[in-house]
Amino acid sequence: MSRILVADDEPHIRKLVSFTLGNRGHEILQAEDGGQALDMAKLEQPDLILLDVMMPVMTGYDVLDRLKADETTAGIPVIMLSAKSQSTEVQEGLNRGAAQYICKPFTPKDLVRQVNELLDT
Amino acid sequence: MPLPLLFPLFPARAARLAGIDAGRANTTVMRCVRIEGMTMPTDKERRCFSHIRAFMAGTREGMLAISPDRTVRMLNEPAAAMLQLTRAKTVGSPMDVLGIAELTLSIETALAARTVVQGGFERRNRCYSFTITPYEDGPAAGAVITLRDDTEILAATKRSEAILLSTSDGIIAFDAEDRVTFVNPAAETLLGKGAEQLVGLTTDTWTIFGLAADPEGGVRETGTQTREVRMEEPARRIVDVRIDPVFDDRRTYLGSVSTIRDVTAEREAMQMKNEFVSTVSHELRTPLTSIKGYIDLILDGEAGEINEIQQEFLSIVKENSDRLVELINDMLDISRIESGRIVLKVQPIDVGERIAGAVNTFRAVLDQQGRSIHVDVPEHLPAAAGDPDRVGQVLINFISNAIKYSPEGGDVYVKAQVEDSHIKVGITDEGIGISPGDQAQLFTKFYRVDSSLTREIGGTGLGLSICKSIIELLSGEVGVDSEQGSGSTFWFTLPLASARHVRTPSLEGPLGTPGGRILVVDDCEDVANLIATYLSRRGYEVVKAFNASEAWELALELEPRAITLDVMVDQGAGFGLLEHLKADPRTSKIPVVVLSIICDEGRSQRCGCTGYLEKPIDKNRLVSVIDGLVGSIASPTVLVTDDDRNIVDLLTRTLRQRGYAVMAAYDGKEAMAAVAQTRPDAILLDVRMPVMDGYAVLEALKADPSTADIPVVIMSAYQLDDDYANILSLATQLIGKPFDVDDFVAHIEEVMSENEPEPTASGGDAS
Repeated sequence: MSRILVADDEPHIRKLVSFTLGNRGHEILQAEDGGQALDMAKLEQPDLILLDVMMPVMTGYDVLDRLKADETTAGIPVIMLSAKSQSTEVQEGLNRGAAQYICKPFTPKDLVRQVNELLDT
Repeated sequence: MPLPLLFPLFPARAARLAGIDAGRANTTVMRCVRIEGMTMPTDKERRCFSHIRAFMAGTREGMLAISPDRTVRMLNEPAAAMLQLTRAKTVGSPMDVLGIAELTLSIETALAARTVVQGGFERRNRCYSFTITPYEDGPAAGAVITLRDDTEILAATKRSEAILLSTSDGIIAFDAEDRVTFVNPAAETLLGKGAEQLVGLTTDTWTIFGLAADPEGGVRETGTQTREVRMEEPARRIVDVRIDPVFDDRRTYLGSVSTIRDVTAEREAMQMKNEFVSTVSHELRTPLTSIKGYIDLILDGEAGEINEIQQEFLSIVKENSDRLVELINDMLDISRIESGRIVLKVQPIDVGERIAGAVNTFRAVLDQQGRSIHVDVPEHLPAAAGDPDRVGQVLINFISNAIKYSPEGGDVYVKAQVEDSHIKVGITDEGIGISPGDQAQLFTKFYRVDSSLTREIGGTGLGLSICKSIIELLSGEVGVDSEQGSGSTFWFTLPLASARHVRTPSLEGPLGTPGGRILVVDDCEDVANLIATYLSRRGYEVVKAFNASEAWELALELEPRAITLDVMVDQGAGFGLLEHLKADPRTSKIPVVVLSIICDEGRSQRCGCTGYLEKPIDKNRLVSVIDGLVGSIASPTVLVTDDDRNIVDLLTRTLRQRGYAVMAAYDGKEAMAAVAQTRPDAILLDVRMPVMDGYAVLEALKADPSTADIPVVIMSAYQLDDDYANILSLATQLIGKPFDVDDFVAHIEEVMSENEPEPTASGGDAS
């Protein structure tokens, strides 16, 4: 069982991710915007973070940059969850240090597989 | 007015702008005509001149003669009409009676200097031109004058000039010597330069825009050239520039004309549309994520049991949401193509290889349905110019259609062949066929053949349109040949790769059993076994590792000659392993070939891989890549460069037989690309080659410190050019053609032993 932080401004998507991963026994923390996501990551030290890109207050990339710059959070793997699906956009996310990049829409199965892959290593 | 007249049309304007006086410019010294016996004629002589009188009466040009005493000796009817004189009153009178000061002054000039004088004058809103030719009359001189009414032709010229002056497109005309002869006001505004700054300059349109000229040459050689130019000065603008050569009826080159069209507003509108599409598609993805996600949860049984009807209905919802996602992806593709944001990496591609790759993705599906796919590609199909990924996308689209639209089964045939200067690929099915009416519209956006089958299959109606755009961007064509009920052939063409495209020669290992130990890292046992089978049949000793830590230990312990690595091993730990291998001096020299399903060549290369292969794995490619790598480690590498393929083949075979790894380049640019990729231990270089000759290659190699010490052997069938003696002195050896192959190889071995700094003649860092 792991603690996973889900940051997305869309409540239905937060719930979808929470339900899917919660069903597999993970503890889910939710953040509604980039600012909250950064604060919670530092405070709660989750095992994995799922980050939307386009969020209010702070974009997912800003959050990612700050997480990687802070040594207390730099080691937490981050999966980007984004509607930006062109190969150049995916490449950008990976270059910035995301461990994985999942394009929306995604299937719950894909999500579970990617999350497990990261948590197992 | 046809365009060829553009050049003679504006001598006055051109000359004025160039600061030359038109009158003087037109005055040329010619000759003085001598007409014997021009004193008062006898009757006999009058009869003799009757044909001249008839000639003068018949012509529409005005003609008059002035005697040495400056009286009018004769004039014809048209001259009298032009000057509004009567012949009876004029003949015998002093020439002042003509009443045209410009004309009489010019006659004086012509008589004084005994030269031909041309000029013109205006009277009563009509324009006349004249030519005065002096003739010798004993010691004195008279003159004959021809007059022409140029009013109509000048009016026509002015009309054409007015059209060019008032069009909103900028126009610049050049003569055959590349001198600017005309610049219209629109061009002046767009360029922010006055015509007086440009007319008379010997230049090129691209140079005027501050751009490099076309490397292929001027429009006289290349035909029409077009470019979209982004200008910063005098204003931020986007312009379409088009240069057309101008020829006359007899195909004589007269010069060129450049048209500059301001397309800023259109491009901005296009950009807004594309941003809109991009935003909308992103906005659509968010609700679709929820729709798809929750349906998948329910269908997977994660929200509790559902009954069969619920399952069926939700499957329909899921299918349609998948279709929406596909539509959005296609829309983004279209928008990228239309806005020119699509990046095409055009390079020489092996069409057969692309076909094999695309066909492989469908093998499983077809096997399941008990159908076959037949591939017919000639053995020595030349390379085509294209983007390998995009050509693959088109092939997959066509093949997938061929399968989908033959519901009754039937085989699929893929055939490639050379047709003129293109390679044509056809994909034939045994399906329902397409009516002529539908064929015509098949490649247009959102067009779908209306039938129960197409409604059932779904699809977005964008796939073929995307294929058409991609192929047309690659300078090919697409089409379909079909008869209803008896199948269809969808085809596309790609131009043959020209000398402009640089192929990077691949490395071929020595002939004979390659041997050596290869470490295969893959967490899927089936895949590892498959790779092991391919490689051990080829003569390699294969060791398998199923996770990253095992792989690391084996790499340290066994020092394999090469490693194949699935980066997804251990849930994606492969990249970490690759970095680890490259960071440790004990393993950093072992070449690693990444095998991946996730198409991440860029990341693999950053991590330091030597080769990259996509899954599913193509046996031949795998073997040739491994052979090349092992060869480059175990044996010295020779780069063979010659435009004569027979010589390259002969040398390649001989050298490989003798245990060398060989890279084969067919011109200088390919040779440079090969050297940049893998440093050879010796280079064999022909002198006379297209694209980039041996002299240029030799110079470039010696100028670069990282390649300066590679021994170069020059081969030439010709007397070597003394002008290049300095460059040739850089070469290690010169060998004349024809040569004996065995002698030749002996030479190479000699060169390489002299130049061998280390005990092993390895290429050093082969990656």
